[in-house]
Amino acid sequence: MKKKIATLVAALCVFGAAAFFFISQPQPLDGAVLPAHTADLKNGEILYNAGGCISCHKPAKGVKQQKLPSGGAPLHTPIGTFYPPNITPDKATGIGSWTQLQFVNAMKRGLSPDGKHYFPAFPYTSYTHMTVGDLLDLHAYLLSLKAVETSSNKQTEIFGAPILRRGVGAWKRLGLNAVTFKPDAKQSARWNRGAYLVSGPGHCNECHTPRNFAMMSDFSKRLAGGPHPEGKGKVPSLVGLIARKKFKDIDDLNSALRYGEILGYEDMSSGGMGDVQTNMSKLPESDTKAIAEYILSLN
Amino acid sequence: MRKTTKMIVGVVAALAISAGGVMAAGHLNKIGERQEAMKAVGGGIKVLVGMAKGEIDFDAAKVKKAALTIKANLNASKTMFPDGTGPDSGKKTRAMDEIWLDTEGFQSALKTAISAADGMAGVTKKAELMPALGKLGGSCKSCHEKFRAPKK
Ligand code: HEC
Ligand code: HEC
Ligand code: HEC
Repeated sequence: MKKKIATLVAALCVFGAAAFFFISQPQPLDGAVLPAHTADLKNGEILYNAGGCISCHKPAKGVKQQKLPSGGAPLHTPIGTFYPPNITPDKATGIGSWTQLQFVNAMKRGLSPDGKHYFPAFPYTSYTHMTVGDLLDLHAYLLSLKAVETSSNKQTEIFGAPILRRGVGAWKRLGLNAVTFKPDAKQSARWNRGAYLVSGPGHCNECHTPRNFAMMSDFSKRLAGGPHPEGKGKVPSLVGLIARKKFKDIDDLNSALRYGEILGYEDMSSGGMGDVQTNMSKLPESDTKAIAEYILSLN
Repeated sequence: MRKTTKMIVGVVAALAISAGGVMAAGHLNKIGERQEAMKAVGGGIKVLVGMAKGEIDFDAAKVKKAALTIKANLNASKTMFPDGTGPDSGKKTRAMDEIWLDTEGFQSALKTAISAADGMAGVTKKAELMPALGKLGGSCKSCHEKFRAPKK
């Protein structure tokens, strides 16, 4: 009897491991998704700012070229410390030798060129909603930056990272909703632009939408606020901002996004929002207005 | 003799405890004090922003008054972050550990804000208001980014 149970357990383990191996397999996109495309660097720059790449991929303190995304500044998360890598076009230490498809797979599938799963500390869970055309523009923009060679790419300090990466693969199967943003025909073009920027490049959901038990965004509470993902205090809700008298109208929220504390909006700096606001201030005004229109429509 | 010694020990102990109590309380009172100081700073900013947005008429005297209120309260805050008043104090505070891990950085952020308030106090024309506000508001932002946690 005991032996039978042991065999069963062993069989289940093998089955479990096989199933885990299977569901944690990478699911890359193939070259057919790439349209014929002429890169628009201006658009790429807008997406770079909306995406806030520099907030995480900034260099460590003391490095000279602070404005380039050469990576290395620590990013503390509850599971450990990341050092987001160099995404300047340096061939050896950056992404200079990546193909377009490899870049699109990183952004839309969270997969590295050699098929490893990235941790969702890299918010591809939002970037996955971006259009391939926009990603190609963003890629072209990154390639147009000055290449920075980084001397030592610091390693992620995550306990058991290689095994966890397979776990991330299984997690993605369950919860990565890798669907490109679809406009809502009932809404205005500006509302749709705002919705796209918020859910895709702007990755506002990563902080403003609470997570469920599996650490996936709970979209039944879209942008309703919750515990801060880095574990310090709360992220405020963006629902019903007018009803709660936080903002008067689109122009008011637009100035908050563009100017933040410079114009006395006192809840726009702490817990990572300051970096987001700095990035917003670099967008064309039509885009911050679109974001404001979309957010103020949430009730 | 025994009795007196005991009494003395008792009195000394009682004194020590109450002194400790007063010290600890004075200590934690600083949390409330700095929050009031920051609210006053926020009040000053509201006036300046109102003028920058054209909701209040520009008035150089009012600008100066608001700037000096901000400056005085920021100056007072310098000593309102004693050890033991951080997130582990058990009190409601948004002060982050970084204030004590990087005391120099925190004090220099205060200095930057104080000199921006000085700059604001010197504004005499409406055209100078927005640039001065950029510096002053920017100084609030850079400290709140690094040293103030989001609301609990
Ligand atoms: C919230 C922080 C954060 C933001 C914002 C962010 N990244 Fe990252 N990124 C990371 C982290 C962390 C990693 C490493 C993940 C890992 O090791 O699993 C990463 C990895 C990458 C990689 C893989 C690089 C390599 O060498 O393997 C690319 C490409 C990338 N990011 C591009 C971008 C772009 C483009 C943007 C802006 C649109 C961006 N990231 C914004 C955190 C971020
Ligand atoms: C890194 C996490 C993070 C991301 C990403 C983020 N936010 Fe925030 N946001 C916060 C936090 C934390 C606060 C509160 C800041 C404070 O208390 O100073 C906040 C505050 C705000 C507020 C002020 C709310 C109020 O009640 O006054 C607005 C508006 C806002 N965010 C919009 C956005 C938008 C739009 C995006 C996407 C473009 C975004 N946020 C992305 C963390 C984030
Ligand atoms: C050197 C750092 C620093 C500077 C500069 C600074 N603050 Fe603060 N501020 C803080 C800290 C820390 C807190 C949280 C205090 C606490 O909760 O114990 C805070 C809290 C606040 C609060 C919330 C008060 C409350 O409890 O309701 C307001 C409002 C505020 N600051 C406004 C401002 C304005 C406006 C400026 C710029 C003129 C400014 N602050 C400059 C560090 C700073």
